[in-house]
Amino acid sequence: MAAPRYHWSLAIPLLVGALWSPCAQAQRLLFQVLTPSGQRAVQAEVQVEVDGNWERIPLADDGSQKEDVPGDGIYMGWHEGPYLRHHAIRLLVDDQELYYNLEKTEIDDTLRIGWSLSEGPEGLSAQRSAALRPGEMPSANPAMSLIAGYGWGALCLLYVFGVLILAKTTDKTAGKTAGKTTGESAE
Amino acid sequence: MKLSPWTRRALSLCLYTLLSMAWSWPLASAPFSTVVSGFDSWGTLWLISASDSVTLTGQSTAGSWPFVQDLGRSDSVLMMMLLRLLPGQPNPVAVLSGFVLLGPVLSALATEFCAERCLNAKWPWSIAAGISAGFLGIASATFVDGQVYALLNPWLPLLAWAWWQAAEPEGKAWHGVLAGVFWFLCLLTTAYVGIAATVVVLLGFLRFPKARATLGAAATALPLGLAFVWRFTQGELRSQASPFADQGARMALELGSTQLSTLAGWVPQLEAEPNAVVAPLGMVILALVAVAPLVLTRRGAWMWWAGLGLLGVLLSFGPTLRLDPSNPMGIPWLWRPIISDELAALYRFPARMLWVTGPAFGVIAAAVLTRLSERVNPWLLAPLMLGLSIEAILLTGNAWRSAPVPAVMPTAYAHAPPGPVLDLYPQIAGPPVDYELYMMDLTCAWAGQHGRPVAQRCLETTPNVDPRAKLSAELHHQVLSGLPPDRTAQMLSELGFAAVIWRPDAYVINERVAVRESLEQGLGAPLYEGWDGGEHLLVYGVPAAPPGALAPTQAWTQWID
Repeated sequence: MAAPRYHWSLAIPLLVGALWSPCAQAQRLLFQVLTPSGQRAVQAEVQVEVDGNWERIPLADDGSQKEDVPGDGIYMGWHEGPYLRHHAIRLLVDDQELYYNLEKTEIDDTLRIGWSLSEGPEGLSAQRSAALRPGEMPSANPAMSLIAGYGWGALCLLYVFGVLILAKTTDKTAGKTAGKTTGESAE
Repeated sequence: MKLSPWTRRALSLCLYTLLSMAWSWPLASAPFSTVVSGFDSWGTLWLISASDSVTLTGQSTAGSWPFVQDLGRSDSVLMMMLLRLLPGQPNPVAVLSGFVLLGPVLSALATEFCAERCLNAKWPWSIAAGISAGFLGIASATFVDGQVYALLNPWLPLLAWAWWQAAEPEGKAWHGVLAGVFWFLCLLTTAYVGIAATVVVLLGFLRFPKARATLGAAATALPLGLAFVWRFTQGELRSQASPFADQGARMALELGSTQLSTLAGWVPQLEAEPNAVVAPLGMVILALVAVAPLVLTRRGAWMWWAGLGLLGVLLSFGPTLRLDPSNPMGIPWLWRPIISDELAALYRFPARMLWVTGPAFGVIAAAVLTRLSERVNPWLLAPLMLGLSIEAILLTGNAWRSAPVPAVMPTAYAHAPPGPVLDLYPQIAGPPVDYELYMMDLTCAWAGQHGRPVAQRCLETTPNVDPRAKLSAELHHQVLSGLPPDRTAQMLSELGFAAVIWRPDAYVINERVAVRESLEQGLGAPLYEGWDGGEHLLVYGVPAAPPGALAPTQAWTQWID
């Protein structure tokens, strides 16, 4: 059977990496639940399993939680603990378990885990959703990147056109012919 | 101030290196112990370590125990070949970091060279080409997805340069030979980069390369390419289907395609869709390409590059042109008529055709900047160069999309007896849908560090089909149906395992208790319990198989099949 392979060259980098690493702090999980617009206030709670015990984290939308914007419809709560790659997590709303899963929490940084609630004929249901920043109402519209990206693109184009107009003006002033050298030798 | 060519190249190198560090931050702060790139990084870590155990026939004993794993269709043959050249057993995490930090730098330098030689771009404006190819577009998406071996891709711009020269009046046979070699290196980098390189070659025929150069290219590329294709067809299919394949061929292709929004810029909502390929091309680059007809010679040589870049964009949209990934509406697109299940199983990421767009548009942008710099005060163009660098970090979203993930193996593995290891965890249903694959990739990454054979068929993308999943299902069946625990121990020892690494936290509480009791009755008390590396792991030793026991592969037939 093959013996474990450890090369001596691993020792120093691993030591340096362990000492000088961004991954040496406690892990922080931010839970947030987005309620449907016009939804009455809810009692929301997240439970996280740590060492076999369920830790209860009440979620609030009254500004009492760090980074929370009161009344924005996003209920928030924080959990801080040692780094774990997975957490068993439950979401309870009005004492009803709406979600249970083993969540991947491998990022060693503040991690946001979000749900959106919806009201249906069978009552409330929760769906995992992309986490939102406080006060960032469901602008969960991917078309935002179209507006932001191509808007920035239009600005770039305007600037380039401005430079081009300036170049043409300079050409005329200098009485130059618009010699176009670039690419010519390649043609 | 006149700078020597070497000084210019050194300055470019410094700039790209700084950009690479910022682009992938915080990787540069902990390159030996952290990964910041995405999901596929874990499988890549295993592939890096498995490289030194691969035989000439492309098989490895590192995975798929008690069988061998065929790596004939592994992601990057070139990466494995390069690693075989390194002395000793390098730290896989450091190698991965090296690809992320240095790959884009080399790709950018090669594209800069290509822009200077093909469209007479001048330094520092040729840097625009380097940034476009090395850091924007599909390079960014590749980094975020974790296929970091594809970031080391100077071959594609060098192929474009050599094939371009082959069609110039002074084109020589050796230009063709070089083009053939670079095309083959693209193919070895990844099959997708190889297909993108083939598009460059085919489009290059429109420029009528010299007959001697074409012969040189054919003499090099045909035998090498045929040998590769033969080996590829002999290898086991790495992924019969994606986790989404049951949604049909078109859906599989659409998940791997770009949309107008994913080419524009990153916003978090885009990633709410599974497998969204966010590959912003860079608005400064697009603006410069848009004014090329007004700045460069009408019908000039640059148009070939524009055609190449545009073709890459059009093909990347896949079967439907859509505004954004969540929008079901769209216009039937180029891939629609040729969709088949066979094609969708083999070619699932039309977005990767953007490998040709980054260099092509970058070369044009560099030429436009050069021409403008001859006509206006060059300082007026500085904001564009600055904007381009900022775009590489902000528009791609890399600053927010990369996060530190510890990649140092939990110490529990070091306490396992020597020999094959069984990673035991349950089937995990529910979102995120690819959790099974994640667990497999993660445990494979640890296998890359502990060096023992594992039952996972690492790099597999179809969940629950490898020996580990089958064995785990059988073992859990035995445990939860109350079969005698010594039967489990006998099965594991006959299959040749030396240790079981168990993940209790992945179970619901009642099953956790039942599995633990059964393991302890069959295998004895755990040898070690570890809490480091973000995982709670228990190590159980497996007794050695008695003399005269069946070989592990025969035992497999008896117990599992």
